[in-house]
Amino acid sequence: MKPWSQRENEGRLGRFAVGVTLWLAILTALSWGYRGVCRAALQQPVFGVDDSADTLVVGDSHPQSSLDPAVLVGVENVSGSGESLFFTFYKLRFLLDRNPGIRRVILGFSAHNLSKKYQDSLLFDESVYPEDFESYYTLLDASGKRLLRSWRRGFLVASLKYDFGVPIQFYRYRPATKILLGQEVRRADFDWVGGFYGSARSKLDDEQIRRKIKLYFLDERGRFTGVSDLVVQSLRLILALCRDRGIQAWVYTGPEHMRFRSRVPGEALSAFEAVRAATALEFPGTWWLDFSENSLMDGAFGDGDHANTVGARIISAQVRDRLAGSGYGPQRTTEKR
Amino acid sequence: MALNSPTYLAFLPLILAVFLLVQVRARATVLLTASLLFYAALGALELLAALFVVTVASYTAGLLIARGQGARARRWALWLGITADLAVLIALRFQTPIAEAVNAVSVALGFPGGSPFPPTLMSVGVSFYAFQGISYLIDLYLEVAEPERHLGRFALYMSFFPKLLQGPIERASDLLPQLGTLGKPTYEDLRAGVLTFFWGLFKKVVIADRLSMFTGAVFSDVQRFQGVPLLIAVVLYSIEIYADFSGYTDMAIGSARVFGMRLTQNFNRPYSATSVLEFWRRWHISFSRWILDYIFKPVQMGLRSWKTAGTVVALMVTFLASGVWHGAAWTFVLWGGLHGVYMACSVLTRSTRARLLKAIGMADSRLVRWWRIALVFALVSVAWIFFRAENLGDAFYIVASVATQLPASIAPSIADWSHNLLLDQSWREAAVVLVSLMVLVAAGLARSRWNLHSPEVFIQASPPWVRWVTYHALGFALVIFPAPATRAFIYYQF
Repeated sequence: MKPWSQRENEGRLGRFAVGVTLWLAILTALSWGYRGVCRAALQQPVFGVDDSADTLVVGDSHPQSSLDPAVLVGVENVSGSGESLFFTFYKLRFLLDRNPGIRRVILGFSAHNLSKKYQDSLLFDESVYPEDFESYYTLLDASGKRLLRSWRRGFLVASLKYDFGVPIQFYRYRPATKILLGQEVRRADFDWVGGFYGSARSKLDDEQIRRKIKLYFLDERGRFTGVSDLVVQSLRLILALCRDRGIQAWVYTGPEHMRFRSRVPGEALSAFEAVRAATALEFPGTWWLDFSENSLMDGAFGDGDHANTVGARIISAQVRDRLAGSGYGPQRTTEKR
Repeated sequence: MALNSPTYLAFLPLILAVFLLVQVRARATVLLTASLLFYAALGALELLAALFVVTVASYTAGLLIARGQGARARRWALWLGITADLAVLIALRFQTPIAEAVNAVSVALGFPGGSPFPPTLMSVGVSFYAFQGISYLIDLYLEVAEPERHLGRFALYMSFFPKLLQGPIERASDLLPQLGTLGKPTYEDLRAGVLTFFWGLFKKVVIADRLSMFTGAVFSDVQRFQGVPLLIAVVLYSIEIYADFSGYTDMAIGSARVFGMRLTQNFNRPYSATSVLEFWRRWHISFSRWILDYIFKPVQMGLRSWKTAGTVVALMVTFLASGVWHGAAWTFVLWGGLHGVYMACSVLTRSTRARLLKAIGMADSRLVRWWRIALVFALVSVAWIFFRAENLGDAFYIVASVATQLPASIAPSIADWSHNLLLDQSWREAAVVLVSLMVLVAAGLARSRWNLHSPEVFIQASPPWVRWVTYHALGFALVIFPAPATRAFIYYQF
């Protein structure tokens, strides 16, 4: 092995510097182009809801599986599985900006939506829905990003990708790939959009219910972990957004089977009721729809806390009847972007 | 900290900078401090305690062996040291079965309440430095190595951070002399080290982590699949574990090389082996050498009067022990047992096979060579099923389904190709897997064609434009094509 000499060192350092600079220059150019494509993806004219719809359903898998647009005429369900209310706020704001004809929002809201353990896992846990996290990240503004900022890989990747345009796994972001390939971008290409999900399956499994209760509410020692302040704040932001835009807000609590409901920790239910009461006081114009103790038959549940297609039809019909008293009806003909 | 973590990517250059800036005599101290910090970063006090016990026990026993007057005193010191190392290894590696046994005995004796030692301690890296301590003591006893009298240098030999968590298991005669002459790394050291490190990172984050998405989807719920998809998952897992473990080894070797040190090559194109025996000469080489020298040879010597039968028994004992070392589960025992059976069959039929091939004039046939490579890959892959499966039931289901349902599952697999051929992953990920595997195979062929130890030798000997394109391509591949989710190294658990 040759020892280093000053001249050799200078030559090698020079070549190394040129190589690194060239690499960075290429990466910067690629990033600049890719960032433009990512931004263009969100400017696509594909976020308008159906002409006949004047109501949006937002939330997680509970409203996603139980509010069937086939029964609720004029309603578009854009709920997404495992969606935190924190993301729901940004998603709703984005869609309302592009759909000024929306008159009503039905927001899914149950006890598990408040649970600190579950909500923190959705927002901060590396292993929970990493792809969804990246998808929702595109909707966040600076303050939202600041609230989620961490050293977790998912956040770093999303930030590098969408804030700086570094084309990390670029092929996974379908809208951008389609733009690059000159193909037509559709709303379904955006993973965060969501939509009604009906399943005919019916399986009430006590072991699964026990696991879900633990997933939603309990820490390793089986204790309730409290309420997520971030989510409570998000709920208030959503209702304020609706109020400020003159949109009727309906807060909907989906059906839960008694075997599930009876195992929800009492502290979680009390905390839920307390938040609901405080929110109702703060936003008096809000309508509340609570189907959590609806006595649906066993065959109407997909599992302990989700309706299946049978249950969705029943619940949707009941929701439709309740909405009817508030001027609900398929009457929208307004413009959209 | 894991070698593929962002923290390590900052840690390594920082330590290198300090290493280059301090005086020569302080360099070993820098590396020892860095190694202890590296291990402490795992956040488990028991690991530092285990490292301390194994280091002090091996060091002390080593001095006793070196100074021992008479065979009895030396043997006594040897067994004292080995017992201490094994006690730490067994206590941490087998805490779950030990706790279960204590529970069972407690209940049987009428003392309910469970074990006072719940199995919650970490054991990352313990096997590797315990084995290293044992090999040091045996080599001293056999007088094939010199004792290290400097405790700090010996502690660095045991804890040197690139190889601390997953090896290679270094022999005293290979690593200790390098620690005594720590100098300034050459430019070639830095270049080769960085390139080897990033090549290992590519194998881990682009290939292994992505393949684990495919294999994980199958092995986590095998009953959803039949025939073809199970075969695909088994083949992909064989590649995944190679990319994962050899990726780690390359990163360890590259990390050591930037400090001017050379670690043992742990992998040498194992899937190009033409016999299972050769496979073990190419796979996890430092571990294979260890079990060969310290388990197989002593057992075989003890049974030498049994002739071939003694060799067969020694092989079975060696590989069953290897299986148990991987974990106290029947899947690992069967994995080791299968390799023992392969090796035993190989020994028993070797002369017959050689005579047969000679008789039909195909002793040097290229066709036979390729057939052997394919057969060894198939045999090793069957054994990997037991290594990877969640339980014995899953493993036997996979074997039975591939053996009996393969032809019948071809047409349904093509019809539902997304589920059965892509294993529920996107075609985009499959395309990345395909291209990255082509790169891996090309690198292997290049090593084979020019008989090179490692890819970096090939790159160093290439024209400048090839080097530059390679560096840039590797850099962009790591930025653009990492797998969506990171996974811990497979051998991290051992």
